[in-house]
Amino acid sequence: MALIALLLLPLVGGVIAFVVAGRGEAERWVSIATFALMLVMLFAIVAGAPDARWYARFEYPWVPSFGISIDLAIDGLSAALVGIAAVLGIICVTASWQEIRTDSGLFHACLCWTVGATVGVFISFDLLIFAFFWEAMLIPSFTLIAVWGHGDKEGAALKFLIFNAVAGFGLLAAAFALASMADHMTFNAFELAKMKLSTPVQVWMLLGFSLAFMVKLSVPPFHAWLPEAHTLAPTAGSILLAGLLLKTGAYGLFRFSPMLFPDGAMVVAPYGIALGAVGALYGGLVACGQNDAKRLVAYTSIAHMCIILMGICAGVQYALAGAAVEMIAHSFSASALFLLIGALYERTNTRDLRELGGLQQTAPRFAAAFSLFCAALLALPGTANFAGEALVVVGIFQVTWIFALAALSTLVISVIYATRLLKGLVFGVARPTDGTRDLGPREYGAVLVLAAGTLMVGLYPQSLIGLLEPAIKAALPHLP
Amino acid sequence: MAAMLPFVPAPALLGFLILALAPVTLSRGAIMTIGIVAGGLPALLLAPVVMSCVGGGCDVPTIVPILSIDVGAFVAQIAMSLDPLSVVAGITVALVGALVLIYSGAYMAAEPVPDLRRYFAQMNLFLAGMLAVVLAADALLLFLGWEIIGLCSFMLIAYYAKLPKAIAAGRKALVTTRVADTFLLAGLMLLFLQAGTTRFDGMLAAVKQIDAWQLAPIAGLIALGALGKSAQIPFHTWLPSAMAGPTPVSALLHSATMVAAGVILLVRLAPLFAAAPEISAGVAAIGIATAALAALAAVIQRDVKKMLAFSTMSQIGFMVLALGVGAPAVALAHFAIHAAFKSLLFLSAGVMSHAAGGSTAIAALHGSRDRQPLAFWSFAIGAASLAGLPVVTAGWYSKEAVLAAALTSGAWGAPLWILAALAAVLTGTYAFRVVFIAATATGDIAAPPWGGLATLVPLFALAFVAVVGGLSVDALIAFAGGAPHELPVLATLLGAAVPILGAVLARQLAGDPQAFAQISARLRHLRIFRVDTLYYLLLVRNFRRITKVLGNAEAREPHDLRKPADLTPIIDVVERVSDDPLGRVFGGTGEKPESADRDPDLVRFVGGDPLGRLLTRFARVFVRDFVARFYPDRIDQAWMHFAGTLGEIWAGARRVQTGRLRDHSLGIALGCAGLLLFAWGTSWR
Amino acid sequence: MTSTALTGILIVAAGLFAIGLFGVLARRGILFQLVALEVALSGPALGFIAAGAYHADAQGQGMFILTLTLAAAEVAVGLALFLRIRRAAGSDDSDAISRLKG
Repeated sequence: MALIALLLLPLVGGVIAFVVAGRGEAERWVSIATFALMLVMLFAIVAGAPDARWYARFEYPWVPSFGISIDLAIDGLSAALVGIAAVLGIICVTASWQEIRTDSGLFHACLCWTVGATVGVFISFDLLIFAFFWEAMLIPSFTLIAVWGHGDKEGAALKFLIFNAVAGFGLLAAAFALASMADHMTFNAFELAKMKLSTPVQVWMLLGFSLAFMVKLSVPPFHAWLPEAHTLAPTAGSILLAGLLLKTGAYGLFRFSPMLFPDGAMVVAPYGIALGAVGALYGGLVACGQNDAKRLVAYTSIAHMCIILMGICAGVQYALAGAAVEMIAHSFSASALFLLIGALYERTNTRDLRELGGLQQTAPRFAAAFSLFCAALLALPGTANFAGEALVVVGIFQVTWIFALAALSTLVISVIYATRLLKGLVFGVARPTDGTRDLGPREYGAVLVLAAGTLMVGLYPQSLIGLLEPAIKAALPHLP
Repeated sequence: MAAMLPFVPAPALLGFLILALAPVTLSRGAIMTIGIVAGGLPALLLAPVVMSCVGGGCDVPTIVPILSIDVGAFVAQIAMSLDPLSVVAGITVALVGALVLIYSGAYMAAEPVPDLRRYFAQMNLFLAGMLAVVLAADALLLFLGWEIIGLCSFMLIAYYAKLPKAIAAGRKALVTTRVADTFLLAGLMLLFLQAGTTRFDGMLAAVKQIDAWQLAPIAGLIALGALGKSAQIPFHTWLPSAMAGPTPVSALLHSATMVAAGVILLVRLAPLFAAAPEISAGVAAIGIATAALAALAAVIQRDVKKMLAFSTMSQIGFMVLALGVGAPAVALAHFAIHAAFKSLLFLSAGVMSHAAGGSTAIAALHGSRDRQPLAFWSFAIGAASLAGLPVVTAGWYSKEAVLAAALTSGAWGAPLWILAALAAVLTGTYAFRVVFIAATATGDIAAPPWGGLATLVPLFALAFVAVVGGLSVDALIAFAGGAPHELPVLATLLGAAVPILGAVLARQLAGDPQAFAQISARLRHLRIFRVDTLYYLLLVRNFRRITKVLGNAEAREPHDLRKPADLTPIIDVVERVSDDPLGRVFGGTGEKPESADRDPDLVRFVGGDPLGRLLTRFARVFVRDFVARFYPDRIDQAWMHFAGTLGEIWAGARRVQTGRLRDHSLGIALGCAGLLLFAWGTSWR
Repeated sequence: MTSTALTGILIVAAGLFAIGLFGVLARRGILFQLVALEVALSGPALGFIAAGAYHADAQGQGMFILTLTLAAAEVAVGLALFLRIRRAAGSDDSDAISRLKG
């Protein structure tokens, strides 16, 4: 029951925000209240049964003749991701406090609905419902980009929509195929997991699923939607895209591939690692040449997601743990960077690294925040990103050393683009007309929350790994 | 006593947190107080630990666990270790750090308050990280500190953030050390996978069980990583450029502590290298090569800070040589003594150049003996210790120990000793050359004496150690677990003669600037001829032919290279280009004009260093030709092109709808004919 | 009627239809297209007669009367349209009216 409430809360909250819009800042407070309530509920659920495999489950047969049921379940990994969703939701609202002036009700409704749909993705275990939420994520985020973005926002939003919608067909097709292959047609993932399919069939199904996940995860060559969508979206849109939507792809792969296609996954895994390695290097190299700060961070997101892909495909405990930690870590750091760059754009109206600079003199809090998150970007030990990436690399070393070295080279490339970002933003001479005002209390608060997360997980990864342990163990390949 | 160890870096860390994050505005005095106190407390906290150890209390290492991380298969522990290595290295780092921070109070007194705050914050973070590296008993804490000091080095080199050259130098340092760090990480990860634990004692105990063919790459990777941080060939190019930072930064980071971090790591993992003799031999070779080549380069430098940078490289080469021949305790002793006299040299050079109007050129130091007598004599003492003047200086004892270790190392002992002795001669040469130049009297007594207690106390303290420390070297070596080597009398006498020879040579060079200029010019050309041009002809020119992606100022270079002797203008042109490859390539408009009016000192940025120049050029070319190709995202362009062709297809499809009756009739007729054909076809058997 | 005769007449009918179709496609004047349509209509009409004769069924001739009536009606409407088009487009070129172009 609590899970349904958790799911419905943001959806209903979005409707309420839309309705009360116009009176002062009512819709912003409604959204914040929604997300805060979500967090409270999440804590209650997690604290309720701390040692069980699933903190809560909910099953309701919906269309029994087709085997469609509403099957929700939440464990450590899902809980962590849902928590991140709620926190990022609050941060998005605070980030867009000044930025969004027109149609603010619809904006916050779209925020809430996006978060709601992603929560649906994280907790549903019925494949049709999962696919439903998968596609449902696209509409509100498309609206966010197309209405409140900058530049060629409609084009960017369309590109985002077309890529992800077409890829979603792979998911849908595979889901239907799987459902029809069961003795009694069912979409329930737990029951489908008990089916013993032959390996070639598993591979095909996995490829169908992977199409959707790869595009969402923005693995080159399917990443092309990401740079424009991230760059031209409003700040809140970028935060949600980078911090949340990308993780749905990673989550889907992490959860469903070992559950439904254990043998197929072992066949496909080496190609996954290779693809991830090439993609990580490609994303990093392209990032080195960008002049637009947001675009640079967008390409680094591609590189980090490819490392997560490598971790998931490696299939050993270290790598899986690393991939899970990196999911959380990247949410913190990418969101923080987009938040800061968005705030800077609000003040200076430019994102061009060649024109910005000198924050160290004019706005020391900005400079400190940028320095910390650029350090996270280059995976400095002490930040959560290092914990994730180091674990992934250790895991890959156990499997193959060539791709492990490739993953390590991405660390070198990360230094190049991170220092490029630092040089363009923090160092250099401030133009005399700038007078960039420093971070306000609201923005600084959001930055502190994200910084605390990054540093806590970085310095004491056990706190996160303990939470994710059961999910990681479940994702290990089971040897017959 | 051991339980105090985790608290040693704590004051520095706290100082960093307060200075960096506290949202209150602090006054200049408050910043300096917090910075200096936070930097000085670790030394005070470490003192009783050292005392307890000196009496033999830590022959058996005591491990102090701090944190545990449980990742399924095993448990990683973060711990600190109390043993001779951590004690010696720790007290060196803490003391030198404290003294340099006190000196900074005077040196940086004129800086604006926000910059000062940033400086002290980063110096304290650096100190905390360095202490973590030195005291770590496990790979995780070591790597954490390792990367932190790398980042602080970048920030501090780029302290004068308005100078693009400083930022470029910082980036160069970070990227080079990052490349080395990835090697280190790979080596540590492999070692961890073999040993099953991140604790050093566990790893070293497991060394016996690792096969030799697996041990060699592990040791090789770790060695490369450590040597990169220590600015040995081939990772050395970042150190001379790093002199763009303020003098106290150079004194602390780039002479005494951070660059020696590699040495400390190798000392800690000495049993690993003892089990991999080929790698040790390689390490020794790199050490002696760096020692000799860097010393030679130091002789022909025109800037005192660059000369000291090359000198550091050379001295660390000595330490690495000692490690390579299997005498880690000797390396540790030399590290401690070197920290003392090198920081002394930097600090006194800072005072002298401040009095000379801020220029760090050696030529500007003329007459310092009269202008700044105290600073001059400190410099002289430091130089004497660096050269290893027999008996009276500490440097003599530690260098003798290194030479002794080299001589007694086996079949290669004698050649190694000769090379090391030659390097020592050159050391004496470059050290005393500056002393003699600074000692010449000039007419003008310009600036009033500068600094106060804040400059004098560190200088006195370090000078004291540089002289008196020699008496403790043998004890130090024994304490660290090494056995003092017995040298034949001839070798000792020759070793004593070496610095004196160097001093004589220096006198010659200092007294005859013409001859010196000629020699140095020829040296530059000589080495350029052999290595640099070959590389240029083989690689750079062919790369250029392959790419036309981004036009660049480098295209200024002429193509006719048939006459090797004419290379000087080319090299000069190349040198004038900015050191920031990415900025050059992508920066577009803003950066080109600055290169035209470069400070002549900075033009010879890696002057007299052919290997360095070669590497910088390679990096520049690599970035321009390879990395730059990725700038427009080609995959994205492919997708958009595909989307564009759909538009073309649509435009083509539109043309079918002409709106004309006849065309529609034709369509109907053809369609019906087709259907009839199909129907007829279905009637086939 | 023998089947060979039927075949022959049907071939003639097909030929008439083809001539008419060719005329519609090849001629640009609307009037000429209408004339060609008439010729095309005569083809199936002939076919009906021949089939009726072959099967000795009077319905063939009945269909012929129907076809004739249809042709007359179609010509009437067609000529009326032709007059309207000529007034609206100013020429009797059937290519001139292409406002439904895509």
